[in-house]
Amino acid sequence: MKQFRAYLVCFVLLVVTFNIVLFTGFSFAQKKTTLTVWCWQYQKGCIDTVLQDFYKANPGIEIQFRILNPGDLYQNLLLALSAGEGAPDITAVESSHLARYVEMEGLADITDNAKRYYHMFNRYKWADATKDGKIYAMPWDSGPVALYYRRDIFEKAGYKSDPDSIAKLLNTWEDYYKVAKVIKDKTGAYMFSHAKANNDGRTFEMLLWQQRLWYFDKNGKVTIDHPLAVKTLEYLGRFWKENLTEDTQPWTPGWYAGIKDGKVATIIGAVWMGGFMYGWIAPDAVGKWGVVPLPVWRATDVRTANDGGSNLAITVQCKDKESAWKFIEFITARKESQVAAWRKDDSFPSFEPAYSDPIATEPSPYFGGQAYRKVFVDLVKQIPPIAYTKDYTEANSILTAEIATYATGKKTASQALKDAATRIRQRTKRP
Amino acid sequence: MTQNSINHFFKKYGAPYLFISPFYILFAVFMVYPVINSLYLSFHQWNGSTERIYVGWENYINLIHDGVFIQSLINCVIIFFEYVPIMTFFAVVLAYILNMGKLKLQSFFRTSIFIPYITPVIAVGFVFSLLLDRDYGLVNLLLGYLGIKPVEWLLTPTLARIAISVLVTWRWLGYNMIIMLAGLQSIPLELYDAAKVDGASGTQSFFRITLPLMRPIILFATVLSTIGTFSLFTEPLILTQGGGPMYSTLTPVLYLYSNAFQYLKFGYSSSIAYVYFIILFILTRFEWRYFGSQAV
Repeated sequence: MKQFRAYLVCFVLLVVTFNIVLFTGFSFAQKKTTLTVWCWQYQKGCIDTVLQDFYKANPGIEIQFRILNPGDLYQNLLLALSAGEGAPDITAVESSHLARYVEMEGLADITDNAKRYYHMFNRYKWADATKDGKIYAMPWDSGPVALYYRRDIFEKAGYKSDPDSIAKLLNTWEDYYKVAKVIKDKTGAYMFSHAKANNDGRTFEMLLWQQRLWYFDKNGKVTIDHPLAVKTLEYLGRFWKENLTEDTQPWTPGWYAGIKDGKVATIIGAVWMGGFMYGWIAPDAVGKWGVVPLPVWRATDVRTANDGGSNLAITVQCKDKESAWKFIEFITARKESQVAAWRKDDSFPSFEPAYSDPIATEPSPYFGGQAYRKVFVDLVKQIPPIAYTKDYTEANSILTAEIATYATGKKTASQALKDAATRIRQRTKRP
Repeated sequence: MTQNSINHFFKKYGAPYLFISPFYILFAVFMVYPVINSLYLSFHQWNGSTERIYVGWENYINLIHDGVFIQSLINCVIIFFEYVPIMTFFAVVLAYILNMGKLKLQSFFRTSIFIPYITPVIAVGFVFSLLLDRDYGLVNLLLGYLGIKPVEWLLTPTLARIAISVLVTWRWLGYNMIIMLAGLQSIPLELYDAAKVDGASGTQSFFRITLPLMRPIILFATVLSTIGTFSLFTEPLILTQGGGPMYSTLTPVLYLYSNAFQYLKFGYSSSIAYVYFIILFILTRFEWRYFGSQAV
């Protein structure tokens, strides 16, 4: 028995050592790197279209994904960067939140690799990805804004509903307001939806952006109480007072119903809104929508703004930054990848060479045969370079509270914005 | 201390201290250290990742002038008076009824009143927000049948606070009732018999015997409710997206959370935590003196 036991022990030790040698030898021979990527479901869908091509081109790299919604991702990323461990190698970040992570020194400096692509991306996207001349993220998709409109509602109100006619009809915001009253009279539909009490401030932000205004100016001074901003808010006020907007909060049942059932005539929205509409909000409304550039107040305004858009970045905790760079370069700075994402989920590329792809001029049946992507391609290059900045989250929540006090009639527009500006100055220590 | 007496100490007390040490080590690491670190942080500015910048009393001074923080305290006071007196009273009444032993299905009622407490708060908040939707919620639908126009539940400051109060009452009534039940068990039955002999009715017994003797328990429940109201976090976060229309349902804990995890102001957050602690300490001391002092 004792002899048998001795043999058994020797045998087990041999098998274990063999396995250890096998695996270490194996990994040495393969030199396989595993990269962790955090992103949300929509982006994973975009990545999947070209993932196999990436693996073919880079056999030594393996990717592990973790899918999170943006809110959870930002939370977890913050904690992991703070703790010094647990952060992924690569993360997706929306432009609105990017500056915070750059400020936290949580993202790796990729200037040397990225600078050769600088002129190939939408210029305004670099504002939040750079700090002190260094680049910390690669732009992925952009959110150029335009005006979606319901052809059938405009027709019912007696207007011609092709994009050229509508663009002429809604040339200025004053025209838009006049048409809103006609549409309300003749069809009962609201012109667009904007919640009073629980708004998210995005429409107001878009209207400011097209006038080259923002919470802050280029020197970091708070400008939300600028006279033009007050006039813009009072403009929205006319719609609230005269009941020309639908009082629903975005992403709630009422808001979806308004779009689906044709209760709102237009949507001031970004390019991704179109994808959401035909994808899941109102997939049956084929042929009923069209897109035109935004109306303006004066000739110096642009007919677009930005809403949303995301980037890919390498975190400082990544151990193999060269491989990580290969991945983000493959997804963002490669025409085929961006076009594939564009085809799949209407992810609008920030990479300008992608615009030469035929998909840009493809007529879309959902939009009544209009090549609606071309509208956004033409608009995206006009977007004024405004950075969200690291103080965006707080500034936005302060602003939305004040907009609500104005919308519910508790303050005048000028008082509301003045209070917002005062508080933003206090909290962000900006002049 | 000689070497001998130290050895003696360890021989006699070594093993017991070793056995209770796991708890104290965990307690020190997860409770004591964060509390002290928080105090340290409250005198600094920190975004969670880069260096901590010393700012002295600046956070506290800014906090005292912070209109939003003061609003969050006012909100909690309003919500407190909206639900605590009613809820505590009904908790006692329900406990009294269920304790009488005459009701059939007693355990069914006890369980069903307690179930709201153990339901996950997030699920509850989410369902309530659907029920209270102005255009598509069940509550307004039912009110519509009675001819009442759609109520803007979560869209005005007053109604949003009432919505929170209703949710909290629904949730905590059972918990408070159980506490009251425990208190009721401690009242000697002879007192009730003596009262019956003297010709007292059920209501008279309730108001003259039960309530006065329940005073310590009611005090305990009120202190818990005070702390609970000021600590409301998940309910406003889910129901009113973190503070309700125009900060009307913001609570100190929610404000603390926003400052730390959304605005990356960990130092300011820590000062909120300490001021909040001091305020609650003063409040509960006040309640203790007011409720507790009158001896039976």
